[in-house]
Amino acid sequence: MQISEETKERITRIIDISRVVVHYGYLPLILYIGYTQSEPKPSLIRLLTPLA
Amino acid sequence: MDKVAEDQLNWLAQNPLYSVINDGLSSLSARRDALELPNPGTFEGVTSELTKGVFLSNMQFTGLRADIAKIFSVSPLFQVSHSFAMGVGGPGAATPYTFSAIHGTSKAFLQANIDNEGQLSARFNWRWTPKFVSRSNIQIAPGSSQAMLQVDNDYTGKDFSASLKAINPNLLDGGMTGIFIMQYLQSVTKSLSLGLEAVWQRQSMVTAPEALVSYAAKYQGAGWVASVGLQAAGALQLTYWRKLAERVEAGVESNLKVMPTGPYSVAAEGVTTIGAKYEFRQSSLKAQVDTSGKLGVLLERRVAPMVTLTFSGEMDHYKGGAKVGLAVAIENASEEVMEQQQAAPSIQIPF
Repeated sequence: MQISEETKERITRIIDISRVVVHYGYLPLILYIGYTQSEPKPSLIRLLTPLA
Repeated sequence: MDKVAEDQLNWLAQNPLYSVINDGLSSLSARRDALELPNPGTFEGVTSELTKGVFLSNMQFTGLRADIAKIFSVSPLFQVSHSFAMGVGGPGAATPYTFSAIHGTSKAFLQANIDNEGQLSARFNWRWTPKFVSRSNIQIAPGSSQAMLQVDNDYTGKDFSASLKAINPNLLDGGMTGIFIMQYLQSVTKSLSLGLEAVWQRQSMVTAPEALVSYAAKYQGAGWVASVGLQAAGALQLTYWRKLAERVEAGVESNLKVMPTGPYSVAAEGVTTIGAKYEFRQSSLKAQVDTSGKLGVLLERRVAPMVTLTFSGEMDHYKGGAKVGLAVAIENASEEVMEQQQAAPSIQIPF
């Protein structure tokens, strides 16, 4: 399969960006989904600190 | 317009060839259903009663560890945990601090672990239908352009399990690189199941692709399981697991590796492991000993409803080494969540 250099560069850039997005965004996303969907809502301080 | 198109396509569903094939297939599947074969479990899980249930495999650790888990919700599952580890060195050891979050519903399972060095390990599993689950696992280290991606697709049929995995698939180098694994396990009779695993891998475009095939057979009796596995590299694995009493399980595994070293000589080496597991009301004890001189013990004890203490010990008699680990795990849930847990309908999270 032949892919042109330009497309290859673009795909590489998309992968690089999505890697950064997953690296810094996935954990906050889980916390957000969990926070909004759980009933009753936990307090933010309990969510983040090991104590309390 | 639609009516005309339908009429024109009618011959497709009404010709004799189609009906012969269709009748053949449905009678075949009816006969297959009539055999009432059970699902054999997964190919990877052929030895799981023994290796996951009785042996210590990945549960041993060294040093001190503390896990604090907080359960905020049961259905959907939402849990956050902090892990601390001390006095652990060497590769593969736990990092001093790990934060993890889990969210699970009957359709999706999301998990992320991040340690104090910034390394992320993320999982995302999705259940498309009750029988078809896709799992993905991503590992990203900070400051490096390398990441590990693994995608599994598992189909659990009535009398078989099939799975297709891809590890770091890449099409950009001018060809296909990565590791692809196909596994299939089929029930042949009510107790016997046979399976096969095919691995295709290509590290980079400069190296040639490699293909390997492994076979496995599993026989499930009443309260016991025996299995044989033949790996492509010439390794033979034999296991036997038995439930001795209601709370006692024991098993033996024998690994034999035969490698050709020259045209007329082979080198054979083998390791046999014997293990047992006892479950008490508040604790469980696993112990194992193998022919390479290693003795391992894992004792888990629930000291309070939410507090578990774990002791792990390993002695290597040939090398003279010893490893000791002690861990405390605290689960923390508010009373409302505890009530919810009793009342909530159980959900099938695609772990």
